[in-house]
Amino acid sequence: MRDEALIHQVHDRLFQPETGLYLAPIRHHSPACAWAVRAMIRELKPSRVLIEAPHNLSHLIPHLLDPDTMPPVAAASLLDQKNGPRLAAYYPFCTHSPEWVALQEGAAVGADLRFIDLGSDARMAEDGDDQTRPRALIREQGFDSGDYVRALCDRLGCRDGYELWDHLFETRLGEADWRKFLRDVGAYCAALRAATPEDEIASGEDPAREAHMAACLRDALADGLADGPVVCVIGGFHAGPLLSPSDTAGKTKAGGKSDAASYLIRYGYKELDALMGYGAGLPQPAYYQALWGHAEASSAPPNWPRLAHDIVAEFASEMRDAGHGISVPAQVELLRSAETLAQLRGRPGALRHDLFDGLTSSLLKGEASGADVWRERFTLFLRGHALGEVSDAAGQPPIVADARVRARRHRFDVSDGQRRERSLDIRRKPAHLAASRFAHAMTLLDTGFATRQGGPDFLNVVQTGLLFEHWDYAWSPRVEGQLIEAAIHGDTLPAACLGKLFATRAALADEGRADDLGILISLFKKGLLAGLGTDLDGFLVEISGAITRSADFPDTARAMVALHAIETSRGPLSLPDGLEITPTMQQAFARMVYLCDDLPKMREEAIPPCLDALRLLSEVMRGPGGDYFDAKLFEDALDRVAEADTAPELLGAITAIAVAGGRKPDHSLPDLITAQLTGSAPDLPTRLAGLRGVLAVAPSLLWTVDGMLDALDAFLIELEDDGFLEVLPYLRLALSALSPREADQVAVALTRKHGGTVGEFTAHHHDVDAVEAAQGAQMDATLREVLRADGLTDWITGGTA
Amino acid sequence: MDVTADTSQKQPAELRYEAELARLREGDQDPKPAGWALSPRAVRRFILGDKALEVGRKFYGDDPLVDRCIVALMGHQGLMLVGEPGTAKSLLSELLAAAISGNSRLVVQGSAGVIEDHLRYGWNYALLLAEGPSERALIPSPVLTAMQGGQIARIEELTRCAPEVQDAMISLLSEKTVAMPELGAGREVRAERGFNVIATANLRDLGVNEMSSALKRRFNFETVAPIADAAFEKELIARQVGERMAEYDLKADLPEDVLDVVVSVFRDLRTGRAEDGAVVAQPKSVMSTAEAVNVAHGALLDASYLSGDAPTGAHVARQLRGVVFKDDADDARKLRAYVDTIARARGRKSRAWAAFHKAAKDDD
Repeated sequence: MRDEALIHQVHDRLFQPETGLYLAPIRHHSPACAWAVRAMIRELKPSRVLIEAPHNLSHLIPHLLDPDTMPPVAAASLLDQKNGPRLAAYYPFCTHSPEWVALQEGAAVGADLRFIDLGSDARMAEDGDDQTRPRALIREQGFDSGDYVRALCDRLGCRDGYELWDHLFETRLGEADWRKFLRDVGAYCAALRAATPEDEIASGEDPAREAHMAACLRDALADGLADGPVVCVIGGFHAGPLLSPSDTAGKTKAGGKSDAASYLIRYGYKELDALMGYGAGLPQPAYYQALWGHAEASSAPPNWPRLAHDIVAEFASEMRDAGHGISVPAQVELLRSAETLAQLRGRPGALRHDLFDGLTSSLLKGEASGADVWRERFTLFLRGHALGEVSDAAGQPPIVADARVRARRHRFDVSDGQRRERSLDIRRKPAHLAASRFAHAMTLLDTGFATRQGGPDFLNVVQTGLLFEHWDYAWSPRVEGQLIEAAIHGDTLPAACLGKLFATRAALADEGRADDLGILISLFKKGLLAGLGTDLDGFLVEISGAITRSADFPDTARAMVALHAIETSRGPLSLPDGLEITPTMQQAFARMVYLCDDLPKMREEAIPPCLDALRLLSEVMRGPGGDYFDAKLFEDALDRVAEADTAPELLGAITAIAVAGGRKPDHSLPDLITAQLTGSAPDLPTRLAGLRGVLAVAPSLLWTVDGMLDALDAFLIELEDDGFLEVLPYLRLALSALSPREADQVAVALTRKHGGTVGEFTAHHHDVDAVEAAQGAQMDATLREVLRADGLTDWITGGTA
Repeated sequence: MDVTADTSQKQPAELRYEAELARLREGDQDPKPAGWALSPRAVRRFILGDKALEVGRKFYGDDPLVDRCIVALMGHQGLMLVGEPGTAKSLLSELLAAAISGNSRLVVQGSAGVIEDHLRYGWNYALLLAEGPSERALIPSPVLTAMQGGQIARIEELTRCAPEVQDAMISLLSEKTVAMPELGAGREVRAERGFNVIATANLRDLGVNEMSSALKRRFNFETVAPIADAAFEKELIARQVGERMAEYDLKADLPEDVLDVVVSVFRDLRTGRAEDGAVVAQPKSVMSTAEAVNVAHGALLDASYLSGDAPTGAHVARQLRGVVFKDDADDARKLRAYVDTIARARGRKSRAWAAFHKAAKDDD
């Protein structure tokens, strides 16, 4: 009964004309709430509008009201910790945020605007474990979990708290009676709160926040009713304690100093949706923006059928442009299903979940899986990709200052825009290595600050043994511009780099290349070079995921080899303490062994990369650090391949690996080659395939294994001239795997076999004797004379004589 | 409840739940589509339960799926339920038909032996010879009966029918008309309102026929997923193995840790994801709960009758290959990868897993 009384109390006392207090309980980013808040402010014309946002962000209000500022934007707040990384938190606004609407409408009626929540520094310090990722300053409790939500979902046939919210409240978007709407939101949230265990509320940050907000309210109300009512826009969860501000506030003082720096940045729907993971507001902002847009255009509840129709039509057109057309009957069925489902579920029109269900019914033909492509496309579509604008007056985000400080610390001259050169001794001087990491970080962010002119190229594994890196660099407005762009990823250089890596990864996923191992490992290397160190842990998880999904043998093998190279690297690419790459490498190994069984089925054109991969693998397995891997599993896998009906190249390569590793007797290699060369394959080049395989993975076996050269020699001797000319190009191609020194070695072995010396087989120019020289000179003189007589001297001298 | 009566004559859903349906009908105020015995909302309550009317929940797991099925049946498209065996597709189809038409018995059981007549009409040949083609001699198929009565027709295992029989469904679903030229020019049966088709199909078994895209377009597909809750599945397997073992003169039980191995192996390979999040290559073989019961049952019999000791993970490993990975080399390789990585790692901590790993490797 106590709970019920509380719910009634909230319902009845939200609006208190006698004290001038009007509470607007809302859900963040809810268009329906934004609509009610707008109607409320327009009717009441309050003297003050108080908003649940950290009070230390108040100085940003003028920038938020600047006509040049266009949502989505976010207030970013930064806090330096004594022990630990710098914390960053965001408070996002979009056009349909009740807070944004409250600011705009409040300004329009000339109200005093204030943010009343606890400072962002206190909020961030409260936050727990994950220190590196940005956090949300908007927090909502209980909308999506808890017994109350579950019971209501069961009763109303909704699958989760989001559908429940849409069903109960977004359907009322455009309702004229804001009092009724806000009372219902208040009662709903009071019920959510009543179902939350009290100790859970008491142990969190809520009591402190509510006391602070109550104190702000108390102070605002103390000025009296003379100016007009006070409107307070707060998360619905907090409405109850704020009904009697003085009681809740006690002796709490409002405001106070804050250590956190804050500024305004451009924000995107993508980030807005990504922050969903932190329990803030509603997902898929473009959908709610469409709701808001429709209601605003008609100043009335949206025309629901029209809205659903528009969304489906726009989605279909976007998909058509992307090459995934949706037939008209399928669109009709999508709409019909969604509308009928909405009717069945008792809604005025198809909501987000109904549209998803309609899409599932109409577009999925076959068994649905978790990551269905159409649902994914629709999710992306409803998420949208709008990007906001921040007025120039709002100043620069601190990442610019951070980069400047770091540049100076690493002794880069950024006092002017002049381009300078710098050489860094990256292997011997730690300070130079740090400077190199800074330059790499700036490169990772595409700032254009520094360009590497020479030195080791770790990304493409070229000349990695070089000791010096040569850079030229210059600070320019473009660098600052790019840094401001990058502020969305993080507020310090390392944070932004890490954010950028994850953003690039996400972009790859959008392009359908989520599992491109080559790119992922290259990004990981960039991160290492930029000095992100143990922060790359999360990125490594992404690589692990991609490895376990990889279906390409050469890619997986290359990834394993690349990871192994990083593991054993001692230079700028070496791993910092605490970053464990071995499990990922083991995963790559296990996956590679698994994929080995694909080798017998390889198409011909896919074989050369597989040979390359086999060579890399056998080098790694036999080389130093090969004991990282369980060679037995790899050998078993190769044996299975050899037993299967495998292409001759691969069979040659695998046999060569087995012989080189001592697992098969030496003679098995010449036996195989002889069998292939003397076999009955109709075209000669095919018979050379096994040899190609051997040379691709272990060329030295050609002269170190007895009988190899004999086998090849015998084959060549048997050939007719035509046959020889036919195999010649293939033979040359196969032998091109040999280095010049190796070729010499083969030559020595061959001449020894046939008697004689290498010199005798080398082509020579014959010397010219004195008579021949005299004849030549004579002929030359005669020719010159003839040409001169014919007036053709210019013709042979080019007119210079 | 009389158990013998219950097993010897399984009653159709409309009789089993007669009282519930009557209560729902009585209080049904919501609008009904033409030809429907209950309103869509009442159909929903019948399947998902309604405490107030004492209507029990009959289908678990995916409520929006039920909504979508009901809505699909209100439209022009047929409803196609797909998914692994043992996921209650047929049950759902029966419940829908019973609630919407009050009749779940208009069923065609799909098989390679089904011919077009089974979807349209056949003849009583004695009468046909005696009287010539007449209404009396004509034997309507369940589908034709459903069309005449504006009811729901059910086709089980549609993909087991030959492609030409499936093709007959295409015109049936788009025209909603069956022509009967034998009874005179222009004679045809047009479907009454309320008619629709619920088909169930298996897209993964070997030996099923691929559905043409023309047929696919005429159906809304809904995938019925396997049981999502591991604990519930484990309980179900234990219960079913217990029931089967009751037929033998044995006192044998699968130890808890061995049962865990069975459940984990099946869930990991089915979902492509191990409990700890590691990705697992999914075999093509059906890794359904029903197959898990077969493996557990086989392991128990092997242990009791052949090796004569307590069942271990090794018995499970030996059964797995025979029961599940019947003839697909690719699947065997996926199992090998699973054994080499996941089972091996788990074997370091659990004896049942160690035995499973060892036996699976020896078998390889």
